[in-house]
Amino acid sequence: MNHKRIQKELSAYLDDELTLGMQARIEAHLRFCGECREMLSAFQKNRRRLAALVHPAPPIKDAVMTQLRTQTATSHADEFSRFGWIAAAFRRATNGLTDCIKASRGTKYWLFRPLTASATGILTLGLLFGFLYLYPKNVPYEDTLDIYFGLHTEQLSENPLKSNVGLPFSTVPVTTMDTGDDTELFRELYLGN
Amino acid sequence: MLKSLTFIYFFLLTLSYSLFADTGTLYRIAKAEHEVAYVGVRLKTTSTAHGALTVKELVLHQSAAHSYKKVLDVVGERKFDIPEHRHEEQRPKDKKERRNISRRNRSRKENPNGDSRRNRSRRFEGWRAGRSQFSIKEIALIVKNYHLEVQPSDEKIADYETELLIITPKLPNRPIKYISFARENGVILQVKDMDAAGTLRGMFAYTWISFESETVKRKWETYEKEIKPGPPRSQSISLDEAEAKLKRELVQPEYLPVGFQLQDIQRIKGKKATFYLIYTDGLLGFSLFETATSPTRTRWRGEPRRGWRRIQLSGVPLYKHERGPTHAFGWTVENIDFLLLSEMPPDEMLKVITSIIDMRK
Repeated sequence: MNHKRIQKELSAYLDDELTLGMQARIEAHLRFCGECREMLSAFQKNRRRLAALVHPAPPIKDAVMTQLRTQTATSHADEFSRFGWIAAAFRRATNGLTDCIKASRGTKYWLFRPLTASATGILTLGLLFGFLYLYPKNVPYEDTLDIYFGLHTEQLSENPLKSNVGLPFSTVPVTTMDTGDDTELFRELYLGN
Repeated sequence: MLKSLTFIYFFLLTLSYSLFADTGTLYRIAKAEHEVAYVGVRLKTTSTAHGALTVKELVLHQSAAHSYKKVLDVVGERKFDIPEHRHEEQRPKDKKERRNISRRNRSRKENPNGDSRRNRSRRFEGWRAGRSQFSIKEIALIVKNYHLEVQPSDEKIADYETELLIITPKLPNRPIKYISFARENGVILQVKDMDAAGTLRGMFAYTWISFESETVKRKWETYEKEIKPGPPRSQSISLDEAEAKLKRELVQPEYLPVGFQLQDIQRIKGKKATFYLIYTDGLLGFSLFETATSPTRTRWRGEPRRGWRRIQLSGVPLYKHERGPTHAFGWTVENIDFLLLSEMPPDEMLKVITSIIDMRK
């Protein structure tokens, strides 16, 4: 075997990747060839040096800031473009969806368990109906009162034989009621009765 | 069956003319409302819940059951003032309420006698079906509680000779009514409503009216297509039917002011559990609304809404409100929301309410 062929196979020899026959031939050559022995020892030294080398990782703060800068630059570029807000919204939506999918991987069979699924359904319905039943309905308050006032007025004012005329204003005895009102109000506000 | 009842009704009316001239006049007016068709334009001023209002109205009257009205124009309107003084609890609580009040006040300053376009269209556009009853029960109550007096009149209304029927109360604090009707057929041409002190508070008078069948027919054909009054918001129901629907007794007051009787029970359409009872002495009346509720849904709890005040009556919180001549009282007893509306004196209304509260407690 010539030197060139041996020197080509030296790296594979060091990695134990050669056949036994090839290894024997290389070892036989190395016994009498000083040049190839020197090359082998040079290879071995290099390997040791490489193994001893530790690649310094960038500090975590730098890595985060770099990532942030990249993202901000991208989103700014989107917002300043004409339809950038659509692209930004789409990207946010897809990111959100991806996160949801990732989060649900661990629980994807959870809903198919009959007991938990039915219990969840019953609980949800219970909460929904409870909310609908107990929630105080005050929204149509004034409208409903308008209807009641309208009905009362209608059956009087539309009939020529009826009268929606009350007492003269001066004789309406409302003063008797105001005293009671204030007293009760005071009691409720300050004494909690 | 209906024909024979109608025959008996008008037989009684005719009989009464000869027995009691003034009562007979009232029956004659009622009969004319059922039998005479007419078309006319009238000016009407009423004290409503919003204020005093004068409108020009077109009336197309075929019979008491088919009578339609349409406001042609609002001649004048004066809204009731909102009282300046308010209690602490009635002050606006949040920014939204303050903004709404400020907007409303600004609108009032800009248009003191006006109406918003939306309200105006809701109140005045389209035809309304008349709901005059002129029932025997109604007339009998007027005869029982009021004096009737017919006077000849020189006044011509819409070119028709008239007679005047004056209805004055037998009891204090009740209204007075002046009805001018056409001498030839008994159709009402002018009505004046006065309070107990004799102050004019509302009236209508025809400026033009025609009883000619051809004119009525022609006008009917002109407007027939556009007369599409909405369905009535309430309908009469018997006591048994109401109680069957409620699955409990309908609450009726044990105390009624002198001369008052239950005239009708109505069920409000679209509201399963709301009924109202109409009580009257013939002219004056009150309406008692009853709605099934629950402690969490009742409207009569907590702080009073703006414009309302809270008082205590027999240990029950009572909410009080006034809209023009109408007094309103709301309260809750045994999961029933009550609302009493009337133009009666408030002390009489309180007696009615006390009788209901004491009965249900």
